[in-house]
Amino acid sequence: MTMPKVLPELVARWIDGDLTDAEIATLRDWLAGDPLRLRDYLRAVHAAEDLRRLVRARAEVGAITAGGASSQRRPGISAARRRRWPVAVLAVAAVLGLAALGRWLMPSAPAVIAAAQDATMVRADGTSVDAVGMRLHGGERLRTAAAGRVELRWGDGSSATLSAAGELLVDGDQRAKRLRLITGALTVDAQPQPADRPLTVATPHAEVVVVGTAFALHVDAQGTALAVEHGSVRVRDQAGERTVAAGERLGLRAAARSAVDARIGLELPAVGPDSDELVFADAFRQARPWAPRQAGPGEAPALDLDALGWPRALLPGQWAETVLCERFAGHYPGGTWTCRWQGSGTLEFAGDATLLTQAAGAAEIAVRPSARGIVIRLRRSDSADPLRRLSLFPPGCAGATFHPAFLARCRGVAAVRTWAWSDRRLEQPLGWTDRLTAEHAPMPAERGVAPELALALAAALDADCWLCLPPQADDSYVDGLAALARARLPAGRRCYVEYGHDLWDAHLAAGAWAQRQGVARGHPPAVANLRFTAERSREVFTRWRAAFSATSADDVRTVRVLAGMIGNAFFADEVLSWRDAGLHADALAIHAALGGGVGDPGADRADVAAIETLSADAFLDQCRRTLAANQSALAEDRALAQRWGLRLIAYHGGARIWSHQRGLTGAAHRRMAEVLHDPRIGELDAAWWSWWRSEAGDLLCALAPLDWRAAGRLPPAPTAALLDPSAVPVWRALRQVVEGAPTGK
Amino acid sequence: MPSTAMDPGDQAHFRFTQLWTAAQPAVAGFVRSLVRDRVAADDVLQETALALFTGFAGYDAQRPFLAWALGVARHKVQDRWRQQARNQVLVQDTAQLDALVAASVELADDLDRHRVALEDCVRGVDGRNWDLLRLHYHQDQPPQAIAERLGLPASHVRVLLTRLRQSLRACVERRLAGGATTGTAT
Repeated sequence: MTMPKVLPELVARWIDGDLTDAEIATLRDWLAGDPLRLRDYLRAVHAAEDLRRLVRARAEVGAITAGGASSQRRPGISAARRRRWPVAVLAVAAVLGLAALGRWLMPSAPAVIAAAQDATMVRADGTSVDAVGMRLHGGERLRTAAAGRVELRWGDGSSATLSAAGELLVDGDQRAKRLRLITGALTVDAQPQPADRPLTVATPHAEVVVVGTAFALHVDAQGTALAVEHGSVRVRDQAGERTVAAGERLGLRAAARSAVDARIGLELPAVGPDSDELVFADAFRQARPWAPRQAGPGEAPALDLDALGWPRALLPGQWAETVLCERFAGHYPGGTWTCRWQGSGTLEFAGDATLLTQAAGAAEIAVRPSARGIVIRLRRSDSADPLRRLSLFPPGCAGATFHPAFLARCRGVAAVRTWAWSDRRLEQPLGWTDRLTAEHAPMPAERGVAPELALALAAALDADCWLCLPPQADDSYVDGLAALARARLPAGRRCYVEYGHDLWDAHLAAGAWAQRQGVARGHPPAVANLRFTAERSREVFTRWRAAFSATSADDVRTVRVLAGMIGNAFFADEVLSWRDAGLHADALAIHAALGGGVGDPGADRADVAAIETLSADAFLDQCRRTLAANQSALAEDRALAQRWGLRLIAYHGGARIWSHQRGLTGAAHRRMAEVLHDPRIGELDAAWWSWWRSEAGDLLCALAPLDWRAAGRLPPAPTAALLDPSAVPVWRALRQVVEGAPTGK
Repeated sequence: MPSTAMDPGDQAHFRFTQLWTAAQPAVAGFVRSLVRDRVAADDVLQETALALFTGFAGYDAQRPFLAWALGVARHKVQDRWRQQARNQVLVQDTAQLDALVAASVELADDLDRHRVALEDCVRGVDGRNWDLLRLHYHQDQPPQAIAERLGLPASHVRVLLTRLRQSLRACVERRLAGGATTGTAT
């Protein structure tokens, strides 16, 4: 095919950035061969650009029309006339002068600062500039004096005025038309907005989605006041979404709103063979990984496993063995269990289990719970069709994904935070293809849970999902998880996205790893983990938006989270400030535990003895002190979040007990667990959550009540609570709060 | 009795807005032909408009506004080239720049007619073809992302986009030749 024939298509692909270097070179040489060819080239460029502009115009008009605004073209007007600018609009543009330029230049361009008085624009790099005539880009903020004002104009004719010691941020992600009013007054006169990319204004207390209207916002420490002059706006806050119409006013007061905005979420318990409860209906998901066994002395050779961890073949005299539920010391459901599998092989049941019936790919076993647990031995596996995908359901659970009792305990929570279900390995980069899937054999607990199961739980609970990305997640993992979340998370549910967990704490393994990454990037060790977290979080957020947010609705339901610790604003301040990561986030999450460590890591065994006789009263006093400290420290975190226009949320919100003591004894562990069982701990948790609801008023994820391992880093603990969760004070307190408080759904 | 006449400053603004509105599509296409990156091209166009506006007092009304605007844009493009690598640029030397300025003036009306025809043709696109156009040009989705969304192979999406553009070009040619009266693209 000759070049003139293919030129338009080549140019269209060039504009898309879709040409290879070789194609670019060929095209360049061809154009250089004859000046007349430039005319065809110019036509092709115009055609490609016109196509883009016309599609955008039609899409946006269609969207507006679908939304009910009256921007349809009048019939009977010729195409030639339609493209001419109405004289009246031109006259207005002329009067507006420079400010109006923006609308003729680029209808979807960033706002232009049309006028400013006693105001400054602060660029993302911290430099202040003379604002008038500048385009306002993502990451920039405007400030006015008490009597100052700044006028903004967009290409579509919308305008806004900031005043009254106002401070306004532009979201760091330039794809979104999102402003954050930190304080002061903002009046907006907006043209009808495209349904899939509306202008949104967030305040610390709510988010206003502009449809096409004029309204005024005023934000101060007391709350947000909204008055709609004409048209209507949609207001989203933690209580949900509502429409505020012309002539109406809405007050979202910081203190009063929290009673309805507060939401209690759940920190999911770690899942594995040492878990304290059956999370999945298929109990085999919580079995120990297959281990090699052989008759006779010596260590059995390693198993030949497939990519999903199922034994591919067995050596002569070798078998694979696993055990489950032994952790529960007999406190787990007995009766007739159902086993299913694919492939061909010979299974043997032992310990608490006895084979009742067996058919191809299925068996029924009688289970009498004891401390031995259910032992399963794979004695033979057909190498041509290896036995795999084994599942084991307690009575009444067959076909379900989650154990009904676990689901019932979680029912009503507003969100689930999934750090304990994340892949926590730090040894090497984690790609999307390296993740655990629902098809995998049981794996070590540090590999977490298949992400699709975390999202399935959120869907089953109709709850928001707070995903913590593994620290070693590479870009493919971020893209893959975002696409999966987009596909699996129910419409209307939010997706919280956080990179890592507690990376601000360099004493923990993940924080220390982050610190090494930061040092490798040239950061001082004291802040290396914080700065690395800020940088990688920005990268993750950008990729997440690209993969998750096909529409502005997806943007709105994405909550990008940066984290710190309550009572230590330095961590959060550094993370938010470094490279302006705070401008790319939506929420500041604070680690808000009560209680804390017992014992003295530097002391000798005498202190272990002190833990063995730890007084519940002493630990309760410690919890009360942290409760009071948390309450007084919250103001600082709240101010920090407000400075960045972020929501303030919390995780690990409940009583914890742990010890870094060396040589901790079983008696010390048991005593710590007993202390955490004290009924007054539940009352303290309830007091903390109640105070959070009244003073902070956004999402708080409480620790899973039965997750002693997360709560206290304990070895196997008493588990009678599995059969009687109401006996666990923390759980009882959580149910009371969840059942008594709105979930904000 | 209050006067309804605009003051001289407003008159100048009004005149500038009229002239720029008419010239902007040609200048935008000219800039786009020389700067592949969309954001950079937008910046050049913005800088051009600001330069024209601030220099409008010195504009000789006897000269064609479009030629003056293209001349300013030409310098802005060269400024941009000096600041940024241009390995993706197809037109690079001064003679080609001059030829593109001349062609932009010469073809302005022709390109205008083409634009009107294309508008009607785009309006005739519907169904999956419209979804493709919307995802690619309105939501800036690359073929790979569209493919994942529609459950198609990426290569198939590329082929569909190519055919769609070919179909729109054929539609435009028919319209300019006085043929079809309804927009169509299959």
